[in-house]
Amino acid sequence: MACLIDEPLYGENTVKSYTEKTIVGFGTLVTGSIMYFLSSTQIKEVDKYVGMAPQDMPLVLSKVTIGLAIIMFLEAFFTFKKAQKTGQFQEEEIHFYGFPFMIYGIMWVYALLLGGIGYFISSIICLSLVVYLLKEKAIKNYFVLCGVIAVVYIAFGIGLNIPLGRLGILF
Amino acid sequence: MVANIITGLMGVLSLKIFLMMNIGVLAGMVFGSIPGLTVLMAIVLLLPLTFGMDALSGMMVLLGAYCGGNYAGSIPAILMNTPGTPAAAATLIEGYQLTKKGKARKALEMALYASVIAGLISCFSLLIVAPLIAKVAIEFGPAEFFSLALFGLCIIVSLSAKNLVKGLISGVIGIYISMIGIDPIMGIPRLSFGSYDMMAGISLVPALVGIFSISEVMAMCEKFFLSHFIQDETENLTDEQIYGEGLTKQDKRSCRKTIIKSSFIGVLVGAIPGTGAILATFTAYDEAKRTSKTPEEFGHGCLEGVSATEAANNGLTGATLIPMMTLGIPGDIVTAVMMGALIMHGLPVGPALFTDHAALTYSIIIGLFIVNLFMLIQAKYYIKVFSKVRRINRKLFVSLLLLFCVIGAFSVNSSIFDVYVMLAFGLMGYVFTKFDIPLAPIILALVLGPLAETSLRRALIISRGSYLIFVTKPLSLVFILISVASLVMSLSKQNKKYTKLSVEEGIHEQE
Repeated sequence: MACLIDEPLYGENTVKSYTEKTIVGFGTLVTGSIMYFLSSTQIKEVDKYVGMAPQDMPLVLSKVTIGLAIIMFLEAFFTFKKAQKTGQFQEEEIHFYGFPFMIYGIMWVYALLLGGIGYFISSIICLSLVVYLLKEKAIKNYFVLCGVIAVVYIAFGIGLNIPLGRLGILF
Repeated sequence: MVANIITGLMGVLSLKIFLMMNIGVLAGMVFGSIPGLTVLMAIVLLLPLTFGMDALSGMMVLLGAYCGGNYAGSIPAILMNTPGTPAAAATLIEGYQLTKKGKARKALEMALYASVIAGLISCFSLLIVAPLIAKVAIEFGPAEFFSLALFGLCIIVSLSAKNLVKGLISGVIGIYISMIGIDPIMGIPRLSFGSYDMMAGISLVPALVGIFSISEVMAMCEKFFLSHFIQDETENLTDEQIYGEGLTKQDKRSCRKTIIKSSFIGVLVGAIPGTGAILATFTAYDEAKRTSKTPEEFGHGCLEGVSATEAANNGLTGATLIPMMTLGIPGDIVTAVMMGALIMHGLPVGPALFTDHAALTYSIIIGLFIVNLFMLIQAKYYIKVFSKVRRINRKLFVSLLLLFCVIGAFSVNSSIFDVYVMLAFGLMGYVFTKFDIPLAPIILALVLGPLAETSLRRALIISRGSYLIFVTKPLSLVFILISVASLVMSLSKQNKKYTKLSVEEGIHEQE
């Protein structure tokens, strides 16, 4: 089992490493279970085949994923034991900040608006909001943004024949 | 072969192709010269634009961006002590010291000179070696192709991940995602939930844009939130102070040997799938220092150091295409994206490229030579402009990146579903990066997954369900053994790290 442990290195944050591996193990286990469930329910079983059925490979992969999750848990356990032995406990965790997720949320809104109100209005609203949230104060840059949105429409929609017009009712 | 080269040359000698090359080089240089943006991101965002073009024009744009971006990564490394691309990390050791001495222009010109020579050597190696490998590879059957795909995946997993299990998790999830859609052998829908969009499978471009660009935008926003946007340390210096005098003939002569040697290091490393530019640049730097007449100058602003790292970096450009074009195994993520571009243009990736589409293939190779020459011209005349790109308004740039991501994902199939796919992959990429799960295996798996599965099942049909077919065919056996060896070596490397730690702890406890 020792060979599976690549961390902690001396001076490295073992609490972070242990927590990280536990979360990755848990996430992988959940993913593997969902994969197994989907492979069993979302693929029509075929009886007559030579070699390998369509559902075989997804099922094998989901089992492998669950196996990897178990190995990850074992790694986390051994890392924890090591941390206990060396006393390398430091209070630091993996941080997720709200701001990137807020921008991510705006991207979803943008994608949904694109299909409804079209390219121009949704791009101007959502991208200006992103620039505003990034604390841009110069008004001229908002105009630059609008200009680029228009240029992109001309370049893609007309120049490269990519039908942005089908995105929504207003272009 | 000579006839093929001439045909290839005729194919690229047109104004349109030259224009595409220059657009690619320009885009690559802009992305490469902005810290935080990578060559990969440039290529991923340019990829959707190439759909409306013919295959050659599209590939020239992408190859232009690849070469231009690889070189331009050295600009912020030299001027700002911040590598524009990860591969330029070694360049900043000497480059920034030269800037502090007022010799930035010398460093920038040396980086360009070394990059162009290395790029040409790399193209030449591609031209000579690739057809020879393709000749052997044309004999491959399904068993060999499966083993080859397995080899490609294992080598990327073992080399890209600090932790092998995390690399495997990423790879396995990638293969699973590649199975969404219609089963390639029996035509049965898999994991599609009855949706027509899902039945078509997950398109590579939205996945790529999501994983690399959206996750990067989220990371940029996080940096912004934490006020970690990189400041330009040279902002207060005048152009005179920064740039100084240019490269002399003596400078070029003194570095010529280092450039040629480092170029070959780049070629050798690049030809091995999964190794990457960072390994090549640091190996070349160490080698240059070891064999230098003035090793004491290294670390204090040595032109030889800049030439070594940049030559190795650009020596990769042609070499990484060797496994992709001959075997269908991408050497790194950038070539995986290019492989995706070839597939989307309906071209067979692998040895068939050299037999069924020889004219186009040779045009691409010859085009790569010309791309390097255009890079020389553009960089020589616009070097000051590119070095000012670093002062671009980042806030505006982030939102424009978002716009290009959405347009890029949408333009593949003119489907809003692809935009949703891109966003889903973006979140996945961001979370994976947070937990140190490598992204390269998932992309390689998306590209190689269908090849691996189809070949596996075809081989099993031929052998009537016997798995022995993979070990009775010599080449297949060799690839399987190398795959296993790469995983075992990766484990043993981790084990050594662990043993070293235990020994160090023992000493620590005794003290």
